[in-house]
Amino acid sequence: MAEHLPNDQYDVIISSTGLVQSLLAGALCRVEKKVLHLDMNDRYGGQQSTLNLEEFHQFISRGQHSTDQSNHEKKEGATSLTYQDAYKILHFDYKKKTTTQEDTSEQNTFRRSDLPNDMDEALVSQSRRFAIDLTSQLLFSNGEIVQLLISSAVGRYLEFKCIDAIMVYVPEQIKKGQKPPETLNYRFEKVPLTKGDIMKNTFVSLPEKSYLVKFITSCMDYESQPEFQKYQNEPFIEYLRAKNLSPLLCSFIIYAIAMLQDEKSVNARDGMSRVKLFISSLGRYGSTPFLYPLFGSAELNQAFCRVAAVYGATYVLRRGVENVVHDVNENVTGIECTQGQLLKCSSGFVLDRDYCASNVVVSECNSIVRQVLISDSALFDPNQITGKENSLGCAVVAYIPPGSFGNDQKYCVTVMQVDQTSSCAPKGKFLISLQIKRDQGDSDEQVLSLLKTISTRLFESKNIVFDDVVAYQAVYRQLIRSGNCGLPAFENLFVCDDADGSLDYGYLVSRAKNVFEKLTKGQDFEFLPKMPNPDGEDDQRVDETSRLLGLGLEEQSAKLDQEEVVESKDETNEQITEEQETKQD
Amino acid sequence: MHNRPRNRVVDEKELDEKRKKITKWNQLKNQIFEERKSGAIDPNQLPKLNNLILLAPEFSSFWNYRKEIITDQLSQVNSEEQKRDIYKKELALTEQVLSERHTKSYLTWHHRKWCIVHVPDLWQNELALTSKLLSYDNRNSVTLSLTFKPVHCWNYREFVIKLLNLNPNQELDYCYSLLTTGNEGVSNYSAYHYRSAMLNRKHEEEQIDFDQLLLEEWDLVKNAVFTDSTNQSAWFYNKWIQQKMTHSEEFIQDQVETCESIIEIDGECKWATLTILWNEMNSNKQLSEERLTFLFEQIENLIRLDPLRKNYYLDVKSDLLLLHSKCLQSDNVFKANDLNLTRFDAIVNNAKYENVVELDLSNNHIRAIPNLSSMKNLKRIILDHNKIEFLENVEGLDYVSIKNNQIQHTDEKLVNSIKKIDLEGNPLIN
Repeated sequence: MAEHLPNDQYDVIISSTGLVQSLLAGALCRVEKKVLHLDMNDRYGGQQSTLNLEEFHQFISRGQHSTDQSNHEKKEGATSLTYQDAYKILHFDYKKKTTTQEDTSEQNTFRRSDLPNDMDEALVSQSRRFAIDLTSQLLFSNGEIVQLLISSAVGRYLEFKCIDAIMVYVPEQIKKGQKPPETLNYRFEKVPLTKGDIMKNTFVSLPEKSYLVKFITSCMDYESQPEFQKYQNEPFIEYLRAKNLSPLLCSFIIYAIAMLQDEKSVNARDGMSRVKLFISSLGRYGSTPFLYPLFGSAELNQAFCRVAAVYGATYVLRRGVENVVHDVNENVTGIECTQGQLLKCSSGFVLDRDYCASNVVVSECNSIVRQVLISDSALFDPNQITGKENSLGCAVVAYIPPGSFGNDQKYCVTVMQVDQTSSCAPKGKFLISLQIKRDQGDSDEQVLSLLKTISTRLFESKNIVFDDVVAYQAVYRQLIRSGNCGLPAFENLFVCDDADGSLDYGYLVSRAKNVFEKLTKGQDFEFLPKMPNPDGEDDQRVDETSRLLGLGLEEQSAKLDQEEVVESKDETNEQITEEQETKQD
Repeated sequence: MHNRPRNRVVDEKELDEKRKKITKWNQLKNQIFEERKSGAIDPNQLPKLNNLILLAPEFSSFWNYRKEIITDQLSQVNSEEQKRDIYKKELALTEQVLSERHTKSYLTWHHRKWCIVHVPDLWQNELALTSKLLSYDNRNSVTLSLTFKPVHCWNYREFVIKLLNLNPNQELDYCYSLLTTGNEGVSNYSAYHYRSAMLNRKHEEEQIDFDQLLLEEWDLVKNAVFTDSTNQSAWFYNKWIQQKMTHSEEFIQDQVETCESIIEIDGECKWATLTILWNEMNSNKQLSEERLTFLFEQIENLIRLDPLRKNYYLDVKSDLLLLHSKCLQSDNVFKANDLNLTRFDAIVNNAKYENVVELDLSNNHIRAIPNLSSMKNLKRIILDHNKIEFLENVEGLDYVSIKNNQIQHTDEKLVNSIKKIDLEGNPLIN
């Protein structure tokens, strides 16, 4: 594995295959830059990695990555890097196999899996059919990344599933004149987003329906409204209240539409720009504005890496970065990779935040804590969500507003459920993830126990015992690092921030475009221009009229019954009959 | 873009190709005509007909020739299976025409009807086909809904439902699912209309009280108009419900209250205001002075929101004034002056005023005299200072005073039938 790479021929060297780096690699190769793309892992995806169960378990059960760099000599003009693990595993647990299963597996001594021996056999045998995302992310149907996939034609490498429903955990509604009960019952309710859904909805009251539709339709030009002018620097919630929106609608808007972590920290201006982003993606592909790539979000990274590879990039996995070598003019001249080879390139180096200068103590930062569950039972019943009997499955995003589970819950919990319909789990299994923001200095144990309580209670409310249905669970913390990583500000070194913990990709795409512009300064290149179709099918339009008339292919016209019909416009046909008639006159 | 010549650049090559196509078309068409004239009933002609029909599905001769050939084919085969196959091919062709080219082709729908009655086991599929075609109405709403009026498809669906003798409930559910699809579904006029037809059937077949059914529909309308108060289709559907509903003060009150809460949210909602007015007109309750003032304010509002229908709103106002203000002077004299009335149909059509002998409506803006035959005792009518243009419907009265109006012509026979008539101040020409 330690073979040396050809050197001195690259324009750009990129480390890690996170989305920013994958986009960059694709974009640079499309404008004929020579790219060397490294990743210290044996998979594509970086923080957007999607793992099968076996890989995921390896990830979860490993210790912390060693940060031991002491055996590296300090070289002149070099800054040695330390790998800083973005993940900390807080808990994992799995269903043990039953005794009857043990008998059968003892006969099967050829168990080639790295999964633990006492794991439930059903889970082990289906390990490869799981696609577990390390980070939950979704695509806005009209967001930058989708526009990019279409304009660059990279979208043809991918398939998507529309998220079926967006839910919010809300208290039951108290009807007028009814005495409020001592403790409110909470449950998940669907956020209706199209007029059809709003009309059908039975949970939202009639006047609320009007206010919600008015809000949705008016938010495309909210900037010009006098109310907004008045409230733009006020808290978002105050603005919503001023628009007569009920507490229920406010939760829908703040958590499900603007996707905020809490109601206090955002003003009306920022809140509304997030609402607009959401609303402008509505009605494009389905009843929610979200798309999710089949087989998990790493597919997206892989698609862009594939573009890069097709256009000449060199890919080397299992190779990280150890030293950054620079000259006196504050320019990076090369990087030393994990096999000790010094790699050079002409234009620039792109690193991710997994590395930081060894001599720097990285301060605490915000993070998210994620719980991943493999369950035999859905939290959101597919039949109920899709409104169809015997539904195969569904994809759901749900939000639990802060405070729903006591004062310990400072932020909104985002729940995602995917299954076989998004090719992320075998039939009958559901992949459920819960995630919450964790402030610096919060204790991991507290957040861990909060998430455990929430997931247990959610199953309980459906009369399901958590331990009966959950076959695997893991809780881990993921850092959200940004800004300086202790390295001096080199002009040709670009360090990519971590994913910012939000569901959408907007931040990552703008970051990639930004680095691309700097790397191709003054050359005015388009970011990911349209790829030509290798089959060249785009330009061949069959003239339907000629075909039906048998022009050019006299003999074949008789077989129309069996032939597939190519789409066409009937304009010309009508013209022909018209002209025909006038001639007869 | 009417009456404006299109500046089309004529491309010689394109024109040449078009000419080629026309020649070929004529050639193929004449071939078929020759064949038919010669009396040949040849199944080998069917594929040729296929192509021509796909090009011009409204050319009836092709379909007729097809029917001749097929009838002949059918008479030659004995097994049901073979007959079924023949019909199936026809259904496939018509489906191709309808779903890919000409959804509005009458002849194609007709041909399909002609075939489908013979293959009962395929009737169920027809529902799926119509559902598919009707869903095109919602999709691409910008491009298609303007051109695609799915009447043919709805008619065909009703035809199939009758064949299948289907329970109307299933169709009601289908309509509901159309109405709750996407953003445009809520205003699917056809779905409301079809629902009303199915409700009638449900009422007849299941002997369910029609008022009860209508109340459920009112609930649906409530949800629709609260979702989108400018949804004209739903409001029109509600008008139908109002008319069908047996008179009930409770229902009227619920309608009025609902509309008022919509106006509270959306003060510009013309339909809610209008619906309140329609309901108050249906009510037998005497309206209070206060309520009338409120309603007149609403009418002013309507005129502001919808100036094109100003005269209609003034007519409604006249009706309300006549019905609810205390104009009746005694048992047999009805007097209403200086009220800006534009019409007086409301008293004419009301049994309460049957006994009126003298009607005095001078100093208003009345534009026409309605048929007065229901006011059996009317003898004298005074319409001075109005805007009447035609002298009509006043035959045989004792006294007609119609000074200072816009009358230009009078009918001699009519004038002679009145004992005393005063036409002073009219721009009479004859």
